[in-house]
Amino acid sequence: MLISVTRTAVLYFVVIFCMRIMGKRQVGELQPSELVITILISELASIPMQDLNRPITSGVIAILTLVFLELVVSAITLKSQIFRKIFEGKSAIIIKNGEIDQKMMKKLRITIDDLLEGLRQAGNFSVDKVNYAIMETNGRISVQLKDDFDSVTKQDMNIKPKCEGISQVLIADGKIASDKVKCDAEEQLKKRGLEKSQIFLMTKNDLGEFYIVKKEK
Amino acid sequence: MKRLYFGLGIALVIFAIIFCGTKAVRGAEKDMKNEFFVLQKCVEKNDFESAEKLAEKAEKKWVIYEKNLSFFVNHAEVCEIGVTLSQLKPLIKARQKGDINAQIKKAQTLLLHLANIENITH
Repeated sequence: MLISVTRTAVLYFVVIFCMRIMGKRQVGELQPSELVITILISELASIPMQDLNRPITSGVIAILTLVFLELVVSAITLKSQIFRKIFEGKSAIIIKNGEIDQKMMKKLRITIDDLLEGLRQAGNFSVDKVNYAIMETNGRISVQLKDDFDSVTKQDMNIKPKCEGISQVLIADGKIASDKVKCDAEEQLKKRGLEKSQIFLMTKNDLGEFYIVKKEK
Repeated sequence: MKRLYFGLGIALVIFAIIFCGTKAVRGAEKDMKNEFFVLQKCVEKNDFESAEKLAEKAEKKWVIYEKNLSFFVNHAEVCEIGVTLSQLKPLIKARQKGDINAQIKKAQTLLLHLANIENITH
């Protein structure tokens, strides 16, 4: 039984290490080759875990080889457009100038239900508002609305945008986040007559504005 | 670029495992092959006392090899060779020449199979 625990632990760390090397992506955003490798890795890891007759190296070496190939392929696809087309495919236009390309839908083997679902997932509930719909290589549908239905931007309204930047956490759960923000945090606490233990969250944006949430009693 | 360095590191680990595995299997095969050959000769000459000693030596040797090989090849196959070797000694004691030869042949075949797994054409 101990060998089972040891093998599982070793393979767990190998798989986590490999997934981290392959990069941060959610399942829905994986390219076809990445999806295949992810499924294969999980399958390969499970074999030596279950079958104690199999040497652990058989699983580890297969996983490492797949990750190595994935890294090499990703490096090549980064440089070569031909390889990118072969390994990742290319996006396809399904709706062009408001018209559904039925031939393309047949070629991609997607039904009208799939298209409508994809559009809904992209936040559009009616096809007639769509100017362009493009099926990306990861299977998602990107949508561009017709001008009449597109949202108004600040630029359209001639409003000068106020960039708040990224909020930096100063205090989280009564603890100062880092030494860099200690001065700022303590100054604010002093100004407001608060103790850091009373603070649930304190953030500061690029404009120097503070946002404070007190702890519930 | 950083990813490629990781890839290079992984490739090195893969090669190291393959190298160690192949070396362990080939080493064990070569050594045990010699043991079996000498053992077979002793049995042919009806020198059962020496054959018994050799069988014991081969069994002990295999226990050491087994530990290393289990890391690289299927445990069941490695174990089967061990079992075959352990059956040799009682057969030699009983002076059953035919069975001894059959047992040696079986161990040789299993050993060859083990080495062939490492071949790229397997």
